Amino acid sequence: MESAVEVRSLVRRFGVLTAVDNLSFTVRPGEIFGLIGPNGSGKTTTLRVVATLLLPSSGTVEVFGHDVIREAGAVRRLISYLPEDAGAYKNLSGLEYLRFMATFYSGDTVERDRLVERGMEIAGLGTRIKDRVRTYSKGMARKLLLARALMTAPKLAILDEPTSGLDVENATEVRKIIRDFARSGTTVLLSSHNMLEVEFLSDRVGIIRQGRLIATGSPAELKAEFRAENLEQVFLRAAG
Amino acid sequence: MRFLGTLVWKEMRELLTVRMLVPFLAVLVLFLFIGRMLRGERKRAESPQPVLVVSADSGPVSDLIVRLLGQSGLTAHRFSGPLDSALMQNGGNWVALVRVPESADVRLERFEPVELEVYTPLRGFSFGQTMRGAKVKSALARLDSVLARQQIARLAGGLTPEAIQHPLQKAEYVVLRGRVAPGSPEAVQGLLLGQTFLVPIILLLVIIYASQMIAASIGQEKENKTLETLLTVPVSRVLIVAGKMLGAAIAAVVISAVFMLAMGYYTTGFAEGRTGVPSAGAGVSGLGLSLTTEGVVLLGITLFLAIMAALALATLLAVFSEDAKSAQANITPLMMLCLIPYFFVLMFDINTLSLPLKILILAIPFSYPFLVPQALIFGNYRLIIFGIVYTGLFAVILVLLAAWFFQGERVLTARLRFRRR
Repeated sequence: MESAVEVRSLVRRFGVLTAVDNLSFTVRPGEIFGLIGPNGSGKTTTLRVVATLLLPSSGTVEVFGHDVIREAGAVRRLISYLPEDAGAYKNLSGLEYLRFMATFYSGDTVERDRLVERGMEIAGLGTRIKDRVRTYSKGMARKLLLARALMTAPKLAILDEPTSGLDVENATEVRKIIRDFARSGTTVLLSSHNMLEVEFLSDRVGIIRQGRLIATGSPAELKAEFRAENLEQVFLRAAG
Repeated sequence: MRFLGTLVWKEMRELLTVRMLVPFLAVLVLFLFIGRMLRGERKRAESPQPVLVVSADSGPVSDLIVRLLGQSGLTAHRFSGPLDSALMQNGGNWVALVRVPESADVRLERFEPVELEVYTPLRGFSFGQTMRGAKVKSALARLDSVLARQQIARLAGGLTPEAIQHPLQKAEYVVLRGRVAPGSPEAVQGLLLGQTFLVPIILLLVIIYASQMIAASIGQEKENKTLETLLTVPVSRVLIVAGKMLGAAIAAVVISAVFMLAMGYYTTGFAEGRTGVPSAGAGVSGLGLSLTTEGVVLLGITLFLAIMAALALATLLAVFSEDAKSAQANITPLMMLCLIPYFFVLMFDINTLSLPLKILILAIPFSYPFLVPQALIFGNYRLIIFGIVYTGLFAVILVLLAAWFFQGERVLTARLRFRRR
């Protein structure tokens, strides 16, 4: 079966710094794959390469069989990327922002409005959707951005630290949205340094440290392999 | 086309915010207010103002003064008392007091000079005060001229006083590209400056606003990480750059137009009140100083190419920024490249500059929109065509370079780094 994401021997350097060092992993279609690791371990760089924003220094990355360098346009039609700490255009209302982004994924206004309807449903902002983004709380803005990423029903959703900086209530809500959406068939590749969150969300997990993959498998498999109670213990033992 | 329209709409919504428009509106209101004030002041200055003529008797000199002041739009009031009382007359509400000495008529009779005393109350340093003072001075200058003619007629009866007073009569003509028209060169130059002043100001405003806007747009997108999202949507990145450029250009043109309207209102209010500016006269119309359709087209092409080059250069410079603030700082070199030719063209003649300076000005692509209006008048088509080709090449290279920066990852990874000691 064709992989959703195939990362092979990925290396990415920034000058003398090697952010990703010979990384390989596969994401299967329809699963939630979580990349976990501490800050600066190379998670965001990896996701940016998959999202066609950065080029690999060496190695290959394919999304549903499309090479991220040679077929970047085709990859962009399949993915939706939510950067960490991303913002929306502050002078647009939430509705205008969804409409703006939906235009690029729809052939006509009818299809665009359908996507926007779905986005409004996912965001769950009620009448506040018509307010300017600059008036939103961090949680509201994050839900709007997540709605933007998911409303197009992408084949692959790339979510970088989706609950970063959110309070417990908003983080729980965002996790629920991701989980519900993944059931509809969208493959999710997400990153987080919150290992408990990834354990709750992910079907399979890749543990990354200093740009290298040190363990991969389902949370249950990893816990069994490292005789750990949770992924935090898995990470500490795998890194140790 | 739909995508481009959507991108331009987004740019406009992000750029033309209330916070951004408030300073422009404040300037607009200020200009309109000052323009209105100037017009009001001019009207007040033009209304008949009282002038006190102090003389012990009503001899021919004081009669003449009263008549000439009246002809100059002033109301002359005679006063025959002492000067101290005169100064207190009418609550001191007069614009000038002219004291005619008692012996004025006798001295004139003997061909001796007469000293008129002119007292002007200073009530401020306003535009109206200057205008009123100029009116009195003009009336007294006419008095001097009339008296001189009378004296000459007495001395040399039968001769025309003008022939003695002004033995040299000159008829001035201006020659331009083989065409001859009556008029003074100062007046024609004034007219040309008026024509060529407006275009550089508009261009400078459009380039500066457009550059600042596109830099702000890219800087904000980087700062808010909206650029990362935008770059992953299935739309050509060339279209994203084009949307940004077009949005910034439209916003800049709108702001510049509003600004120019306000400034036009202000400068008209100011210019209407000026006196003594030589008029070019109808005769100079034969010189073909107004722009022809062909000239407007050539100027339009040059302006368009310069704006494209400026937008592309601002895009390139802003790509190296990390946030909105550093994006604004990064476009400083572009501002310099616009200001240098602007000042040089306004202050110097390109043909009289030293060779290195001439090369410098011609090497800056933003010089040509400032040079073209003059080149059109003097028929220097070689310079115009060279400017279009040069600016065009510059614009194409920069636009391609900007698109190239957006194609790969450079737009996200490029940074300007200065080594710290």
